[in-house]
Amino acid sequence: MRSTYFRSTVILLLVVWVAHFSGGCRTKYETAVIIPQQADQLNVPGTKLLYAQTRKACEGVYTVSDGSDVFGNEIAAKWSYTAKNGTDTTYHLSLFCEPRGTFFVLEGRQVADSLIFVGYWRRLVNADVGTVTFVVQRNGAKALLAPDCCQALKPGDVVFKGKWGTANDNQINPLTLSFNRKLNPAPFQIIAHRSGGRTADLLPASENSVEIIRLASRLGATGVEFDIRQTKDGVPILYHDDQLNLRLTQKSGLIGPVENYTYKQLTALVRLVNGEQIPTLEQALTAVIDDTPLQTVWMDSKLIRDMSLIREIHKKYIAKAAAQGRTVNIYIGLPTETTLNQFEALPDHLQAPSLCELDTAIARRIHAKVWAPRFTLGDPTETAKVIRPQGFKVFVWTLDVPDFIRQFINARSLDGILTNYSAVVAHYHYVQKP
Amino acid sequence: MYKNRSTPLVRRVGLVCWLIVGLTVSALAQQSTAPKSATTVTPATQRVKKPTRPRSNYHRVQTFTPRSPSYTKKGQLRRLSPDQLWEAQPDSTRPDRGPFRLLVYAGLGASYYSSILNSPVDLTDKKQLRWSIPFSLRVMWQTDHRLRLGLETGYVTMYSYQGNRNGDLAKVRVSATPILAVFSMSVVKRFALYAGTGPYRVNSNLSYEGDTRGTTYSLGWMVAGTYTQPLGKNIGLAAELKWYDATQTKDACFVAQATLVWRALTW
Repeated sequence: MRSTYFRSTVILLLVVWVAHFSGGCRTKYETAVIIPQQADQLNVPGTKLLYAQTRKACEGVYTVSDGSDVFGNEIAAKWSYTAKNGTDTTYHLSLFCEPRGTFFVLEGRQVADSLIFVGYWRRLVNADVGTVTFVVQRNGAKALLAPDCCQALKPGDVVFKGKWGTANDNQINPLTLSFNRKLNPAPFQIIAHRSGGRTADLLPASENSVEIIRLASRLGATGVEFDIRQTKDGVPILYHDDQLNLRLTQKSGLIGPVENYTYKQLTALVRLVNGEQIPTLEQALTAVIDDTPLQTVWMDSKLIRDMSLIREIHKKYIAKAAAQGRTVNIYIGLPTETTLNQFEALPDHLQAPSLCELDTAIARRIHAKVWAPRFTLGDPTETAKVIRPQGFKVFVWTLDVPDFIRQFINARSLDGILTNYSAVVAHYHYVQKP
Repeated sequence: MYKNRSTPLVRRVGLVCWLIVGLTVSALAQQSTAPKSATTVTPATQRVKKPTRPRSNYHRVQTFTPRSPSYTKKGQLRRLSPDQLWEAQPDSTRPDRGPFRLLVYAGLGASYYSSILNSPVDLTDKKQLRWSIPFSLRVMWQTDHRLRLGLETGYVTMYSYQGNRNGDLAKVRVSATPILAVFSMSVVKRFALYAGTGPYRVNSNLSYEGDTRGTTYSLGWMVAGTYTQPLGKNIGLAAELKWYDATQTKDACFVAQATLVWRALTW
């Protein structure tokens, strides 16, 4: 009897252990970090939108006094915008910090003779998030609101006095920013991987979605890279992996290669992890041109059957951007010999702006605009010094380690960096002294 | 840039604690196995049975004494399960091992899909079905010690759903074929636990704007428990409860089935 008791206990413990183990192995971080919303505080009577020259004057490198232990000694402030339906435009002031890929996204208003900014902060390397409020008063506000505010500000002219809190705490921690100098004006492309950022970084929009394209510039990007595949019926879509899977999509029962399904099947039954539809290439390019200030598009050809169709779309949207007076460089990415052969079969491939990930001889042969080496294959700096004077731009991919990013930016030998952490690249680029 | 997103330490400590407690209690259970038999006949006459047709040296080498591990200090026979009898053998590296058996299990029953099932889009007239009739086939090598090992496969419909989308009927069915390495251990008489791991071949069938099939492989695991009632010398019937978990695709189902057990080979 006693033996039976012990054996039953053993079995019970075993079952509980297995149940515990199966639950314990699951990651807690499967959904996007929830961004605290407090922009409604701004939409009250008595507040006014900021003038364009005021926004422009806010941009710069700020010295952090209170809060430098958390957000670093210097912060770069840069405006971006998102347009909805071509008319409703929202401006965001992003602050890029050095520690742990931290960034702020703020909206600003004028209240009487002061400026108020509210928004959120987020660390890209973890799930830390919180809210922040800044007020610019007295002389600082006068300087920003003066008719000649676009004139160069002197260090200390503008002071942002703020309070920040975490997701659970009120805003009780002081954060003070003092204007130091203008942003680094050197042209440089900060290209966001997978249309803005990876789903794995728990951003509020899924990778390779229209929504993440609209978010990209707030995260510091000046360009986006997206992954193109074609559906069974030939529609070019944005999708990274070769399979429909739970990393990228919600559970729908549809599995296997995305190329097995028609576009109608995908739009009817499949949603990306944050609920968005898988976008077509045309929807993505429309969002870039109509809704964002992005300047560069790197169309990475993952699996293309009909390169001539891609080229037709390419030409159409280059013309669309030009018609709107936008400077948007759209490149057909050529990562493999297969896509290179498809590209070279195009009758006008020498005129088509392309981005070659293969060696420089091929880049010269196809008249590529950009040579894009993978940084893990060796330091491209020396080669870049040779090829840039010949008219090529050099973008390196995919750089996420802050030390490497700083090293490449300080070398000043590149025209752009492809990264999952646009905010980190933005910080190092903008705070660099000319 | 590293990610500071590790599983909380407390869960890992919990796992280790459960493991330690489980193993400790298991060890205690082994030590405290009380003598049950009231038989007072001499062990030699009870234990040594002349085999009608010896297939190996397994029986001949057994020279039991009243102090053998299979007997109590008072000379009474311990009641041990067939697997536990192996402990009476002093050396697992002896050259004359056996007997070995090949057991075949064929099961049929009912399954219930236990994972979250929500179509990501709104369908009108939506119907979803979590129940199905699975079957399984398992081949186990019964060694001359406690642990058995083998392979399991089968077929189970995980779930299906249907509904109208944009005016057209859409039907989706997801099924899985496990291809698992299975280990089992008899814990009490006629009751055995199974644990297995390996890939599941997951298939989907979509009927909407044409028929489309998709296949992927998902790593996963299974656990099961069986109670076997012998029906004859080489055949038995088992009641089996089982959990299939295709972890990568987050598909899991609970299975209850009747299993026919056939001792196919003995050597």
